[in-house]
Formats: sequence, structure tokens, C-alpha cells
Amino acid sequence: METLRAEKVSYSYQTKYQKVDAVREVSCIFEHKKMYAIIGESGSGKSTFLSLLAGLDVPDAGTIYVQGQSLKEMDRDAYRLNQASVVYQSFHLFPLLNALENVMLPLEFKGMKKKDAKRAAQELLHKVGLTEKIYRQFPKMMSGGEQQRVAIARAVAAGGEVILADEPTGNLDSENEEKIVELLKNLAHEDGYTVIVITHNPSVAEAADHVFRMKDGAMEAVR
Amino acid sequence: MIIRNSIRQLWRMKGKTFLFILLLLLASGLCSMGVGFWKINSRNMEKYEDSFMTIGTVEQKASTMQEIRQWDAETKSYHIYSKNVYDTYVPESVLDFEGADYLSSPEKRVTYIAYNPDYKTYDGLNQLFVVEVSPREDVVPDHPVLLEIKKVWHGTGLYEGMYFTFCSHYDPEPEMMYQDKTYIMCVDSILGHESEVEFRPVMVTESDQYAADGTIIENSIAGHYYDEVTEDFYESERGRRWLNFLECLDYRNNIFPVTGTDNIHLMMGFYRGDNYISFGREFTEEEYESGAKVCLVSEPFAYKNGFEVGDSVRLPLLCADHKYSGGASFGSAGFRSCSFLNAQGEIYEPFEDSEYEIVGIYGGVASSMLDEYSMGYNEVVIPAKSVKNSDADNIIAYGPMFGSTTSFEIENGTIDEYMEKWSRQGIDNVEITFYDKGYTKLQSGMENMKSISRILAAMGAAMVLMVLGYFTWLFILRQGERTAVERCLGFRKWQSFLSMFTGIFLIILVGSALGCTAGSVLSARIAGSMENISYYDTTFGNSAAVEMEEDIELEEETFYPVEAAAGTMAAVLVTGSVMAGIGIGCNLRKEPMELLGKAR
Repeated sequence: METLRAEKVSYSYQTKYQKVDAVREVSCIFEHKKMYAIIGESGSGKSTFLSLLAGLDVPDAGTIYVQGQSLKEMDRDAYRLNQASVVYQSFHLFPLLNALENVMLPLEFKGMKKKDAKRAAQELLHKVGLTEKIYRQFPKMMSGGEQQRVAIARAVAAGGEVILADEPTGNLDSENEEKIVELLKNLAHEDGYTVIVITHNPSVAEAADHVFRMKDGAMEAVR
Repeated sequence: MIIRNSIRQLWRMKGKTFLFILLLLLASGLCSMGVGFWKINSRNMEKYEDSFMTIGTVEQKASTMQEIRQWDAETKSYHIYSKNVYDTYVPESVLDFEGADYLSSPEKRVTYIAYNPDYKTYDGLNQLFVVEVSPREDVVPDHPVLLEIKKVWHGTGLYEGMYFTFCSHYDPEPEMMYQDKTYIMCVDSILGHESEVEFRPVMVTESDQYAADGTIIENSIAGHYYDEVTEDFYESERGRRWLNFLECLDYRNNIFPVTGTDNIHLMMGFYRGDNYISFGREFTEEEYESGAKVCLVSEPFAYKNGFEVGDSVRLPLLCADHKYSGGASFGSAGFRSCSFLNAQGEIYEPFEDSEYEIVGIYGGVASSMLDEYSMGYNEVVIPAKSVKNSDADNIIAYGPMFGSTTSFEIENGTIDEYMEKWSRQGIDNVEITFYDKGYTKLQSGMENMKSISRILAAMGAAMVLMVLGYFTWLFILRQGERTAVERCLGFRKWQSFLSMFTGIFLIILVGSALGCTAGSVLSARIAGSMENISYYDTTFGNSAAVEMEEDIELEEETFYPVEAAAGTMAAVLVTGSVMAGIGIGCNLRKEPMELLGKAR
């Protein structure tokens, strides 16, 4: 079932010196229960495309459809709140909130009572493989892998159907990389999420159900 | 949730948060202290404006000194003393120059002499005697001689047939007295050099009448210390003068000074506080302006005559003294001698006779000695404009502007400005002396305090800006990641704004509230301790300074400049909020991915 569809999506921006066509007429479909990898060299437009999918930017041309509805016509804040979550290479956890509070934040923000949010956050942290010992720790006290798992738990807590991950294993060692890839795969295959991962890492791409390559803003299907 | 989360995150930065609060406390405290000082200062200035008053007294300098020789028959020599001589009288209009801003315009007060036989004024004054006498032998009375009393016209204690010792004390060449002739004379008694009672003549038939322009009007006949009484003497002009003099001789027991003014505080007695309203009230502005028939009477005068506030007094104004103040002429022990006869030898008729309502009774020291700067004994004060008729035909003395008769009021703290403008007029024979009860000294202190308060406020404001700027950068601009992640999590812009702003606002609120309260209390305490000073009146001017030891009580409960503290706090809050708002706005204007430092 189609979750996201990009139709001839283009996006360009102006730097100090030149106009950059970051995304050029990209068309593709993302379905639920599947994990996608978008690979490409630095500057190929991967992250820009991801931000367009996350509703953080608006395409200059073309349309992104979310379950058949044009993203242009949707409330993009609500879209990010309810349908799409982003996981970053640098984790971007709130440094002044502990692991539990980081995960509780989107739950409470969506209106869940503190007590329920706490229980749900604990379950999510448990699900991503973190022990209770970590719950009260602040990001700077955690390893990169632990932080990324908290970030994934937070993304899941935010709810929705789409998880957009931008180089989620970029700062991790191989052991943690494997665990995160496994986690993302499980989220797609077992929990029904559409997981879109931007990566340089061939082993991450290998774990994906479908792989796209971006080059100079254009996209092609690899498998 | 957003607010709780915002506060929670700040709480997790205790060190930075407390540092921020502390720095903001110090900065806003400094600022509040400066503003507080300024406010206290302004309030004190306003308060002092009511307590202080700056008046200038005006005195014309003498053109020359004239040597006056008075014969003393006792020592057979002249007593020599000097007298001020004025070529011309400088009119008070010279004080109406460009740029002279008076609160009360210069006034040269006239002391009117009222006569009302119904009112008690003086009791037991030294008596004058008017007698007809004959010498026992032909004699020139340039030494004590015996005279036989032929008739007593006035005075008790002397009888017909009695002899008394007489000396024409002040006349270097007295006229011969013949034993077969009778002479009329006015005498008073003193102790001679051998402790014997001696009678000396008093010149009473000569008048000192002045025209309105200040020139003396020549008497129709020259005055004599004694005149020969011939058969038709009392039908002659000289004889009629004696009879007129006898008729008004008893006026002396029922005269009192009446002074017209446009502001009673221009009179030194009231200005210094020697005299004060003990019952009733002062004149109102309207009464001064309209020349209402209202008056202030002294306590002794009211007591002797049973006057109370609200009573009416009749003030027949007999003559006008354009030279001396009431205090210079009327003491409790007596008054400066004057003649109630005009240049023609006729008794002055009152030029104005009106009923005045007593609106106030004033108390204070009445000097037994003549003191030109004090209120005269029994002096009645009236609005200057209440005298409607001209006194031009009843002027008994005329002189230049004296400090005791001529004064004006200017705004406090403008003495230097006034003097600068005055000096440009090039009038060097008029001396102005200022009295400001120490305002100038106080003002100088206040100006210093104002400067300090400005510096404190400016330093505080600069510190506040620096602290707010630094923390805006630290807490907001450097927290772009937080805003970006919140946005990625679906926070709307206003929610992200609120999330960041609430905590910052709270810190600014706490810091500025503590700082401004502390600054306000400190400024009040410091100002309070500085205020516990007695300010002494000082004379300022272009003449020698005179200390007038008058305390002005200014102490009262400590004043806390709450408005200043609240204003400063509000300013800090607004500034902080604006800066925070701008900082957060900067973050929110950027796309989340840009804030996260992602290359596109």
C-alpha cells in the first residue's frame, strides 16, 4: 500500500555564488511495511529530498502525496506530528532531557497524560533494546548507539507511518550499526512503518527492501 | 506541558541559570538604584521646592557719605556722624529687565501710618511736654538754665509756677530768652551729666513732607525750638502750628504701621519664619490680585484690642513712609519720631479710611529695638493693591530701595542665571542680596546625586543589555538545534516560540524583580541616610554672606521608589522579551534542516 509518492519533485536553492538544482524531477513511490535506502554521494540532494518528504521544505515543482493527499494541501506541522518522524545522524536528542523524557516529549505534546506517556515511553525504550539503567541518563552520558536508539524510540513515539532516517548509522560503530539497521528493519516489517533511510553505507543499503540512488539531484531505482 | 518542559530544561542548567539570574540581578539592581536615586532626587526637589523660597532684597548704594555735625551743649562740641547721600533714587523699574522671571515681582513696600483712637497701641511712652515758660533772667540757654512754667499745654508732672532745668542742647547758637517774655516749647526729660533731670527741646513745628517724586517740600515757615508767645501769637501761622501740633500730639498713643505687600513672604520676618500665621490664614492669590480689604494683625495688637479672626478693623491711613520698613520705625519701646503736620503746618487728613477683615493673626518675635528686617510693633499687613487712594499728599519720608523694603521672588536655583542677566544691565549702584534658605547648596548636592544616578542607571542599563545579549545568544541562538528538533517533531512555530520563551522570560522576571527590589531598597536607604542632614539657610549674593540659622525639617519616613523599581523592571522585562523574541524569531525563520547544520 502506497504511503508516500513523489511526482516530478524539483527543488533548487540559491547559494552565495550560484543556483543549485538540488532535486530534479524525482518521482518515486514508498509503500508501507518496507524499508527504503537512498544512496548517493555527498551533495547529490539526498538530505534535501528527505527534508521535502518530511515536510520541512516545499518543492518548487512537482507534488508529494501522503496516502494520496497532496502534502502541499496538508498542515505540514500536523503531518510531522502525526505521520512522519525524522531520525538524524547526529541523533539530535534534547540534551537537557533524559532518555525517558526525550521519548515522553512527543507523547505528551500529542496530549497523552504524563503517567501514560511515561509508561508508553518505557515500553518504547525497552522495545529499542535499552535497559532501565539508561532511562534516567542524559544524552551526553550515553553511547552513540544508545542515543540513536533513543532517537528512534522518540521517532516511533511521535507516531505515524513514516520514519525518515538521515544517515542513522553515520556516527556508529559496526556493532551498533547492525543493531540500528535491524531495529529499522523490524519497524518496517513487523510494525508496518515505511522506513526511508539515507545512507552512504552499503551494508545499510543491503538491508533495505528497495534502493534508490541520487546523482546531481536526479533519482534512479537501483533495486 | 510546553511551559513545564521549558522550565525543566532551564532547571537542568542550574549553573548558567543562576549565573544569568545573578548577573541580571546585579545589572538591573544597578539600573534600578540609579533610577531610584533619580526618582528620590526628583521627588525631593519637588518637596524642597515647596519648603524653599528664593528671594532677593534690593538696596541702593549711597552716592556719597555726608558728614553731619550735631551740637552737644554738654561737651561744647559737635558730635560728628555720617549719613548716606543719594544723588537720585533708582526706581524699582530697573529690575524689570529682559529675562528676569519673577515669581513675585519686585516691590518697594510702603509703610502707612494708621491712626485710630479706638485702638490701643502703645502704653506709657515717654512723655513729651508742651509748656509756656519764662526765664528768671535774660539768658542764652546754651547751658542748663532755670525756667519758670507759666502754662502747661500738655504733659503730666509739670505745673504752673514750677521751675525746671532747661538746656537748648542741640542748638550751637540758641536765641536769647528774656525774663519778661513767655516762650512755648516742647521738651522731653533726660538725665543730665550730673544726674539731674534736664529738659531738652524737641523740634516739633517743622515738618518732613515729601512730594511723590521724593523731593522734600519746603516748610512754609522755618521751625524753631521755642517761640515767643505774643498777644496774637496763636492767630499767627507759627502759633497755629503749635496748636495743630498740640491737637495731634496724642495721636502718638494710637498709631500703628500698616504695610501693603503682594506676598507676605517677601517680608523678611515671614520669610525667615520669625513671624508666622498662628490663627487664620494667609492672603489668597485672588485677594492679592483684587486688592481685597483683608488684613493680618499681630498677636499683641489682637490681644490688646480683643480682635479675632473674622473681626473688622478700621484703618485710617494718615500718612505714608516711603523710606523705612515698619520694623525700622516701630519697636515695642517706641517709634521713630515723625511729624503729623504737613509742610503748611496742617494736620494730615487720612488719605484712605477703610474697614478690613482680619483673616489671620500672626505671631513671632517683636523686637523691642528697632530692626528694619523685623515686623514693626503692632504692624498690620494688607494686600498692596487694597490701598486705592493716592498717598501723594501724605508722604512723611522718602528714600531709596532698602533691603528691608524692596524684595522679589525668583524660582529656586536660578540665582546665578538671574545675576548673570542683572550684571548685563550695568547698574552698579544697586545691590541685590539673595536668600534661599540653603537651596543652592542643597541643589548642588542634588545635582551631584542626579549625575551619580544617571551614571548608575546608564551603567546598569548597559550591563542589562550586555547580560541579556549574552544570554540571548547562549540560551536562544545557540539553541537552534532544539528549535529545529521541536519543529521536526511537529511543534508549530508559536509552540516552539513558547517553549523557548517561557523559561527565558521567567529567568528575566526573577532576575529583574530581585534586582529592582534590591536596587530600590538600597537607593532608598542610601538616600535616606544622606537626607538626615540639617540644611542651614545661607545668604547668597554679591555682598557678604550672612548665616541665618534656620533649620528646615525635611526628615520623614523612608521613601521607596516603587514606581521607579517597577518601571525599571518593566523596561528590563520588555527589553529582555524583545531580545529573546528576536533571537527566537531568527531561529524560527530558518528551516529546521538549516538549523541542524545539514548541507543540502
